[in-house]
Amino acid sequence: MPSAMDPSGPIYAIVTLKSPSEVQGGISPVFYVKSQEEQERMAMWISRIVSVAVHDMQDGTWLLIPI
Amino acid sequence: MSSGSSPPIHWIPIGLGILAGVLARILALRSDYRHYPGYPAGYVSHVTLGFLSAVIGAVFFPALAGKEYTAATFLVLAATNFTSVRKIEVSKLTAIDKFTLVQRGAGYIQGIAQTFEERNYLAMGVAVATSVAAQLADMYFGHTWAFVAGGIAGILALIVALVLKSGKRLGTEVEAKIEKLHFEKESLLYVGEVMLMEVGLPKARERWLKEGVGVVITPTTRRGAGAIWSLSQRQAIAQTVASLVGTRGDFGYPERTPLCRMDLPQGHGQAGLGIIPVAHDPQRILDAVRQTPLLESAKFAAVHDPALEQWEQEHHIDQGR
Repeated sequence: MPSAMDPSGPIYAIVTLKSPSEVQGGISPVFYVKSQEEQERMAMWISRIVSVAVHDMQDGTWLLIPI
Repeated sequence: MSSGSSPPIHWIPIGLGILAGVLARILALRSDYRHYPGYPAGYVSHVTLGFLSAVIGAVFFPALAGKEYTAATFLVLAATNFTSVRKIEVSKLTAIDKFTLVQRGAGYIQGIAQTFEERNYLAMGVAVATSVAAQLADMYFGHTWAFVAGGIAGILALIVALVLKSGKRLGTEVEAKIEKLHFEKESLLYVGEVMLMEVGLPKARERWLKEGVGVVITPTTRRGAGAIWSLSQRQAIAQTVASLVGTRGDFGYPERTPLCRMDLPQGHGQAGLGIIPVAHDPQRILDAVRQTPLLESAKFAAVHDPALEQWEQEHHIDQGR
């Protein structure tokens, strides 16, 4: 389990409503979704499975970050 | 005391010293909400260590009086030994900490380990004081007075040790108050004016609003004002609260981790705590905040603190700045 006091660690995954031309993965995978519901489901499942926190960038892109 | 033969052994000072030293260690040993040391294994090892330190302390002065200088140097050995006790405690607690939901944090762990080391020294000190008094009384006034002097010195040393053993609690340095949790800009979790974190999942936001409890911590003393700026101190607060009321989270639910953060946008010097407790008992949460140990490592130089100054103004306190 990653430590809460250790801020290191890359972005685990990106879940976005945007198109591949707008958001691209560098070191982390990108999940392109079509609706808000799909985004919530996708982000929540990944979060529960690998214990990463979901952060809303408030532009349709969510970052999944290990804490 | 001719060379070649051993000098007579002074059992009264040694016995009284050991008794008082062990008593000092046992009286300081309590496993409460901190769940540490564990019972019975932790108790056995710490009482044993306390006994050893009491023995070393108790024989120190009789050995000197008997011109057994080599025996007296064993005190040095003891110090090294207790330092290693601290290191063992640190590594043990750090290892446990890696697999707990709400971690104690490095500062708290160092504090606990240091306390264990210190209590062995206290046991040793009590034993030394007792045996010195008993030995001197024995040499000048006889056996009966040795018991009396040793007993009085032992009780006095025990009182001093018990005063020294207990550190301060946060309750004397801060004021804790329940405040409503709310979200700003859709996803930023606030308690009062303190921003805690960004919660991305809408379901998690609902959970925080429905079951979360928020506490705002305002310093009432300069020590408190400095202490809550320490990350270790705030982690200790979160850990203490979580260990007393539980935290409704698990692996896979990182957004439910209880957090204690400073009020940064305003910089008022207040801290905020957010937790989703198992036992929804606000009074107990406040008590938990107040009885969090004030960490020795959480010390800062005197700071100009708006929150503290406002509190002092409201309560007409002049702390002589």
